[in-house]
Amino acid sequence: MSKKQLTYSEAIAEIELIINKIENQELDIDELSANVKRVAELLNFCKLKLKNTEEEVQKVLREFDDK
Amino acid sequence: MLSSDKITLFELNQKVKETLSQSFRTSYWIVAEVSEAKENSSGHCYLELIQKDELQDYPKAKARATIWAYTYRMLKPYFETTTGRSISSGIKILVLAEVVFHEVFGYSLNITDIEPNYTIGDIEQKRRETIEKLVAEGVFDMNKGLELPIPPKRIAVISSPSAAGLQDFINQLHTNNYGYIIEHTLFTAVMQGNSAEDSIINALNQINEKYYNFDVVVIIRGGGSQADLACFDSYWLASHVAQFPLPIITGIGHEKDISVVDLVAHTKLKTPTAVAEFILSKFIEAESILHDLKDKLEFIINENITTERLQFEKRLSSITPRIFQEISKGKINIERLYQKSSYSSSQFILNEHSKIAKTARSFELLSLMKITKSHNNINQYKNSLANYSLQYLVNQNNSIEIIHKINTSSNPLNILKRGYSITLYNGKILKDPKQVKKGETITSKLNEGELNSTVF
Repeated sequence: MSKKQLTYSEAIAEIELIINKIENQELDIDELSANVKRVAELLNFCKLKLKNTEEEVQKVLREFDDK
Repeated sequence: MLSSDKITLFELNQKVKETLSQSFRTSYWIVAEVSEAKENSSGHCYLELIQKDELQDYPKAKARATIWAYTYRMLKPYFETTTGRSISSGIKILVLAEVVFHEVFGYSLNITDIEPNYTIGDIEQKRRETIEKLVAEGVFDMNKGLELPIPPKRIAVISSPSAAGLQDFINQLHTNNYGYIIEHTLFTAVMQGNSAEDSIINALNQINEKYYNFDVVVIIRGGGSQADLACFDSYWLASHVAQFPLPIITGIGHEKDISVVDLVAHTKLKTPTAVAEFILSKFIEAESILHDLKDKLEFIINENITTERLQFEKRLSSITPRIFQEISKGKINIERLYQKSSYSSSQFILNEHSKIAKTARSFELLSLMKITKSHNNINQYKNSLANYSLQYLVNQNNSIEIIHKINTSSNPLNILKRGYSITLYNGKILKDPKQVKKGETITSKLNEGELNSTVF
């Protein structure tokens, strides 16, 4: 992975790409588990990012309400 | 010339004196203007009376006059309290006087009574004339039209340094309870008597040279005599005050009537203390104006903030559901991708499985076919072996038969008795297995009966 921070949309794009490859049987069976692993990793990343975003938004809203 | 014709100067003056006293037996009420007045240390008052030509400012008659101390002691306060003026040059008086002649001092008038109301009337008339003139010139209201700066911070004071009123004014300004530090610049002037008019005008001129350094001019006097205020009715001083470029506040400190200067001034007050209070009140007013403005500003700011806040909250609350909508969309998308990835990878594996299964089955078939083939081969080998053996046996038998034929009549059944069998195909002895196809029936003839078998 590059040093650049992965973005949510980049992650989604990569997931879609890998799933497409799997669907079209473009992969070697030896690569499958590595790719599935990568998808799982990216999905977790996206999930975490969403969760964090949600929490962040709620926190910001709460902070605003407190004022 | 005879010596008896001669008389001495004293004799002559005596004769004049005698003649005059016989001719002017009674006193006369005389109207005259004072052109000079002097009090001496013994309390006598010496005057010079004058009558001017009405058209030209030119003396028509003149006389010395005296008010002896014992009369003057009574007349002076009476006159001054009634008129507000002292007996001084420029005023017109109505006096009861007797004509006297002194051998040394000559003709003079001995004043025994005075009628102040005449002077009052005269002053009033002059005042009226002065006011009318100022109004006619259009300057009467000019000073009143100026705006007094609030607060009036830069104060030019016209007063006499020795006047008690000035000290009152300064004390009042400096010891205010509000903590205001109010500075003033003093322009000294003579505040009473004949030179007062010129002196005050001179002070005004000095201020006028740098009027932009000041906000207001204060003319104050106080203490001292209530009389001698004639200068404040003077046309020239009033005219200067009326047309002065700065607002003028008066605290001249007389109670009787209001002077013309008071009338034309921006603001007239009775005493120097009142002037100081007035200035202080303007400072308080300025402060309260600032307070009001501050309150107003605060109110407006708060109002704006509230409006903005409401608007912001409105916008925010319209955005908030959209934010969460986006987030849950993202969640659904992730869930979908998760399902998709697990489905597609298991599909992938399933696919591979089926590929393997397919391969396995074809392999199995292939193997099975090979095995069958091998079986056939083996059978064939077996059959050929049997046939060959039989052939061999037949061959042997033939040899034996020959021998048998030769020796004994031979019976093939005898051979069968020994365990041999004959294979028949379509009722004929089968000698070549190639004549038989798979699945066909062959008959083996044994010693005791027959055996049918199917070729495998």
